[in-house]
Amino acid sequence: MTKIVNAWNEWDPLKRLILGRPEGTQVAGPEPGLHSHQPEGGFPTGTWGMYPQEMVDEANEQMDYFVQVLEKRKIIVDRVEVHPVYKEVRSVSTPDWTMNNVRGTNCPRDLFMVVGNEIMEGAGAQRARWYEHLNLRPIFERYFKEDPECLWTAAPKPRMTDESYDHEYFYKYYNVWTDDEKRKRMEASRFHLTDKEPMWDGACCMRMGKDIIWFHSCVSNNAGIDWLKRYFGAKGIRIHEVQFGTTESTFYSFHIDVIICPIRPGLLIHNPTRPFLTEEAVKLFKKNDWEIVEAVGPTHHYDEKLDTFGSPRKGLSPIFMNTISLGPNTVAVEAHELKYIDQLTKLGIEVVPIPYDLVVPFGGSLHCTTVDVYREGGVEDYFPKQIPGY
Amino acid sequence: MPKIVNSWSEFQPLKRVILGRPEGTQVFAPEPGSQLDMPAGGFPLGTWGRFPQELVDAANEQMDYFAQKLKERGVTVDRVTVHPALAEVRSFGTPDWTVQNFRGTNCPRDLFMPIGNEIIEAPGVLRTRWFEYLCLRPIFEQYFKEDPEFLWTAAPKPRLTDESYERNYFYNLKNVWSDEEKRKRALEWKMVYTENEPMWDAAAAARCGKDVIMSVGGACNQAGFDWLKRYFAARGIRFHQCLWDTVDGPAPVWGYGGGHIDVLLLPFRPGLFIHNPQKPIATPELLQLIKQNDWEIVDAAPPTHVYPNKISSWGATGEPSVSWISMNTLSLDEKTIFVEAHEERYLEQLEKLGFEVIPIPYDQAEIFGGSLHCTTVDVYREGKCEDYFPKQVTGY
Repeated sequence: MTKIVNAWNEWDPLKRLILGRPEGTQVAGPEPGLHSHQPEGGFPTGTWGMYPQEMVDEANEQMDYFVQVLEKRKIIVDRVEVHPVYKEVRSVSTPDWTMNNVRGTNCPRDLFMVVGNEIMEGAGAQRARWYEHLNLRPIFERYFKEDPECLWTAAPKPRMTDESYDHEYFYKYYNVWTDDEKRKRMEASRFHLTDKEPMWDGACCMRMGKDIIWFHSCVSNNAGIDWLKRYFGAKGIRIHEVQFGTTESTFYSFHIDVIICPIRPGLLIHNPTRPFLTEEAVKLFKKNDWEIVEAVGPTHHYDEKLDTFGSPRKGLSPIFMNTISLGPNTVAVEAHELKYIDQLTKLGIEVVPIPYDLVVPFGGSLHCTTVDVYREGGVEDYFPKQIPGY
Repeated sequence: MPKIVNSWSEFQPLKRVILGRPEGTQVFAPEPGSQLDMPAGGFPLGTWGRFPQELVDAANEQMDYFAQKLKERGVTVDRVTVHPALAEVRSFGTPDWTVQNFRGTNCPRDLFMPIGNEIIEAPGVLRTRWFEYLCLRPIFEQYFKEDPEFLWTAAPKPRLTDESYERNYFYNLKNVWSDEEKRKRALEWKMVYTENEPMWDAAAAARCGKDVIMSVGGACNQAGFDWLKRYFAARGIRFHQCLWDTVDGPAPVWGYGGGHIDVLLLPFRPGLFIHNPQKPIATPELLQLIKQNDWEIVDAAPPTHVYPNKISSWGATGEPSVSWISMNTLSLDEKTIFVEAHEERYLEQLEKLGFEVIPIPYDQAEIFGGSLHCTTVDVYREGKCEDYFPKQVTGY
């Protein structure tokens, strides 16, 4: 009998992970769950379809190298299997809605979350990703068969009817509201999801043993965070909601793994362009003697033609923080991010540089494209001094 | 903040219940998970579609009466909302398959299981019921908003590809295998489902506090039982499997083995199971568990009401006959039971066992897939999780 699923935090020694597949990635058609505005040069605004094959090939080359590096370090890599529906532009539906196409399956982190021996299918907030679990099922079925202690669970799948979205959000965001108004909404955690039903992406979380920091981004709603608190509360796991501001001019964002990154117990790297708005979160770290180090920022200038998240990256991008720890003092970082690599090295961290800039247009970097399945070690309490009511 | 969901057994005092809706029920189209052979008089073999409106009206009349009786006894009744997609004959599917229509939503018990403060959406075994949860969502969303302790969960939805079903199972059942072969397969837990992924219906479970008896084979595969055991063990709940043998008797049996437990074995009060004598328990560990905790098993009196069997959402019907659906009762508390009003012999037996029996005419609702237990989900029963089986059987 094998133990396959065991991952309580973001830094314990990594032994096994799931890695996405760029094949089948598409620019998703319009839907209420995402505002897509692809510019000229890529897909023109309002159109959608498959990524060009040459981009897929380039991404594959970089991902294959990443696999080699992982395997040299004795880390088992399970690749996602692309479902046939992703191989063409075809509509998918439930009795509540029809979507023109699917989004792709290169970023399993966004929807699938491992907490200890449990692997959970998240309640993701986009219609174009509703069936993404089909790509992961061959892996989950195998884990379930081979590891008798694996708990394979799922949040109730959200219906995602029109009632789950604030329909005028993106229109007003781009045409009506002032920056001040947008900032106020961000600070009040009001984005395009309603609270009709629990919705959340797995990539909104940072796992640190008994404590999980949960980013109330535009892809997690109040009902979703309430759901997570009830479900994991019953298992003794504490979910802490966090909100971030911005020093820039985009007032909604998706995932926590470009904002904070716990490198090892006691050390958190933080993206200074996204200041903490939740004081209790900062207190929680400080009270438990964690050091918060501000990241130096990105180096690489992206010039993307396409991106699955709506806006192709032009110039510097917070995606530089999207790293994966191979162990408590070893981090795989995108190879072009020289300033960040230098900073981490000076902090005494072994950096494993991985060229990944051509994978990023498929939705994310080293953290997004992986799910850490097995990390040595059990559940620890890294925050014994809790903040009352938080 | 009100407590809405709390239901640990089949017999603690009932305060709130979900009740199905017959509207939208259809004879479902062919699919690999079920064998359909409607006889002349109902839908001809191989056809499918909506139940006639007069049948819906007749069922509604009886269900309204049942709802009224429940309310008179202080039970809050929440009715299922029929999703618009069930209001017409239309196909739907997932990227893996398409089916021609839905089955209906009169039997929420089959797919939704309360365990304490949790209601779990089950990974049901039929494609025509894959989206049935849409009809329950308005209720679950309301409970989730109003009851801050309610855990609303779901098993991973099974893909139900062709790999989840034994190819040619029903053909072999009808045309190839001998009775002995069929019986043997049922006893060996080899039914129409493969072990590709966990699959189970909620109505296969009989809840008795810390212990849940799960009827396996007909509506729960081995992976599904394994899933339940792991998931609920982490919550301190013990799942026990039960296989069934089959013997002749006054009522026709629905093939070998057993599916939903609420026509096979039901706990009526601490210490008492009522059992369908045509389906002997084939899992000796269960008999031992029952015995060593001083529970008694009483054989149910045979059914009396003759159903015409012209139409049913559930497939195989035939000549007019009595049916063990008589056992599909709902307990108001340890002493009081709602029983189908035509089942005179069973009513009499239960009265002799000391129960107050509340007769409910339900023969017209039964056609829509099940009787008093099938059409309900007990949401709130007073009391907490009790250990009725402190002497466990090792390894079971």
